[in-house]
Amino acid sequence: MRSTWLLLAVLLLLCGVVGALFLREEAPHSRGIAHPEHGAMMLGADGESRHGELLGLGWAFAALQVVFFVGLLGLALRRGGRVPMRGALLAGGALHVLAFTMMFRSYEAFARGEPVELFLGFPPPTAWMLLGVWGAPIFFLLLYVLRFRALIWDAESRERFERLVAQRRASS
Amino acid sequence: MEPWRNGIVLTCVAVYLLACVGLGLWALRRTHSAKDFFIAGRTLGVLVTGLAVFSSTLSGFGFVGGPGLVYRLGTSSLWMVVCSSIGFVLAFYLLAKRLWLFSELRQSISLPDAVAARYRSESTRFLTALAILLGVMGYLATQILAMGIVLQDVLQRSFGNVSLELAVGISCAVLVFYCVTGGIVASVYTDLVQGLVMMVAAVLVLVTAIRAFDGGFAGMSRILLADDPEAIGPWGTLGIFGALSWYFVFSLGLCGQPHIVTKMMMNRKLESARHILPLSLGAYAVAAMLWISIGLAMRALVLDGREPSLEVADAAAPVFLQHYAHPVLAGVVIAGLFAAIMSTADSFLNIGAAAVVHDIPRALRGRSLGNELLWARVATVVLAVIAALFALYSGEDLVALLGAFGWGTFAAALVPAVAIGFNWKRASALAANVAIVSSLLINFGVKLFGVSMPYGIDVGAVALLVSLTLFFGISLARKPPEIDADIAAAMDM
Repeated sequence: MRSTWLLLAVLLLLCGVVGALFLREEAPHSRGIAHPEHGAMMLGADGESRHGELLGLGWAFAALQVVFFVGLLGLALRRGGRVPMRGALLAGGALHVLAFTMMFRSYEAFARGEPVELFLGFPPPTAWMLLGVWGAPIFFLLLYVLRFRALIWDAESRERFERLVAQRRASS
Repeated sequence: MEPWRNGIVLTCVAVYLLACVGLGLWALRRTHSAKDFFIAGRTLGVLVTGLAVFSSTLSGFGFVGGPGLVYRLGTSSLWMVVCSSIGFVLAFYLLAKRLWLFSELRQSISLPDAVAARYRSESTRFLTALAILLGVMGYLATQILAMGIVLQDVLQRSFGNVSLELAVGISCAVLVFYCVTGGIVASVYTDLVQGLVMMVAAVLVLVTAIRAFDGGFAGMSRILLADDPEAIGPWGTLGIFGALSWYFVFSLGLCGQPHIVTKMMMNRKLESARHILPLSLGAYAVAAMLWISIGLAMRALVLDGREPSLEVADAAAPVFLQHYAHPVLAGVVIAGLFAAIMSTADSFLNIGAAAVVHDIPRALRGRSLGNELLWARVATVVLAVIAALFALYSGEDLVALLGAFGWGTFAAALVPAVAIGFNWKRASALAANVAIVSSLLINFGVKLFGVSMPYGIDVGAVALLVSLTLFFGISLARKPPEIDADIAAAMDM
């Protein structure tokens, strides 16, 4: 039961991050400006001036989302008040937050205009997004696929469920 | 083959449409009841369910709007793609088991059926069905309009002037034919074909885009970096909070998309879910390559002076295909585009029909319509006709408003009530009702009154955050609700 209070607390913190944005004065190019030569394109312009002070809040927004998602995975797996393989879920969450953290850290240098060495064809923070942030949840996917019987559905549960269905059909 | 480009594209589209008609006729023999019509008799295997989940997720937006957004905003919209890994994971962890169990236990044939069983509440069933119907009408109208515009373009290249009404009429006729004859059976088997077409198209386009530049993606990145590093940085031009709010609403929001999660009620065995998850996510990741590669390639080609500036960003995909794709590839991709649109539209038609003939009557008068199968077919035709008329004659603003309303509304309305409520016994019907109503009010209110969110934050993300907070807050503030014993037992498994 405590875990759902924690989920509510995380939601309130996420609301706090969004609320803080309503109170801040927004930089004129915070959501891009029109490209001077190509009408249907936008420019991001100077990354450091529009994002420099927001990176901490942005990281918190991303990390809180991951914490909330992992909490929901725990809610989905909980049986009899216990979450099986809680350590693995937390490790997966930590991996996901780490991917976000590395992306933010490499973006700091990128936004300052430091020389960029491409990784697999992309600037490092973008590569972290495409490979790290996209890839990290594969951990949970593998957990689902490889530990399906332990986490989701085993023979004992199936037998109990079949009895439940039979009872229900007999009584209706 | 260049002189025959238009003929080849038209042939590919015609073959695809005829295949859909053929599948509709085949599925007719397998559709004998409302249960067959709405949930395919719960007999689907891994491959069909997996590709149906993926192809319902990737609509025509992914083939036209997605590349257009990358052209316009740089990498910002890639967050809608990157979120797919955690989105599919959340949807399967939270719903694949619960929905299947509820559906098997109570013989549910729609999502509102399962909601009513979970909450013992007809008002929650009604609000769920209403949210689905509103979202469906908006989404369906935009999909039908997109289908008509694409077919009109294909026909005009071969036959000269063709009206939009005729193009909408032809494409809708095919869609309605296979949806009416075969219901969800036709829908999921066309999804199988459509999903394969989309994946083939995406791989071929990816190779074509890479070959258009010296150094492939590195070549594109250098051109984009020279013009505006932020455009190829992780946030794109939209900025950090716009991008991260998309991550939130498109990942968690996947659990609230009724046309997607309903597929989880259709597999023959619950054990299949462990294979369906990697299959659907893998297929989505492959198909999303089209979104990423065309968008980045067109932005780089224009900045490099190899293509003239586009007047509208959504022209990115058609222009790229016209100038860089082999005619056969262009034909496959245009057929893939139809596949993407139709695979989403047919799912909407099916859940919309279920809301009209099954869920809303049950909520209001305690039973669904008699001869449900017949009325489901009638409702499918009526919904398609209304959506087509709406798409053609209601004005672009209203269609765009309802189209944009779709994903965020489903997410904010249904994630709390369905994805969380099915896993948490403390969740109450009142909390679910408040979450659904608040999401409708916020999504419609912000769009209608033109309220601007700071830092480009997505309205749907704010609505989802508010509805989740209300849902948890109200449920925790009240004493635990009563749940039927069989449902409680299923929630303990």
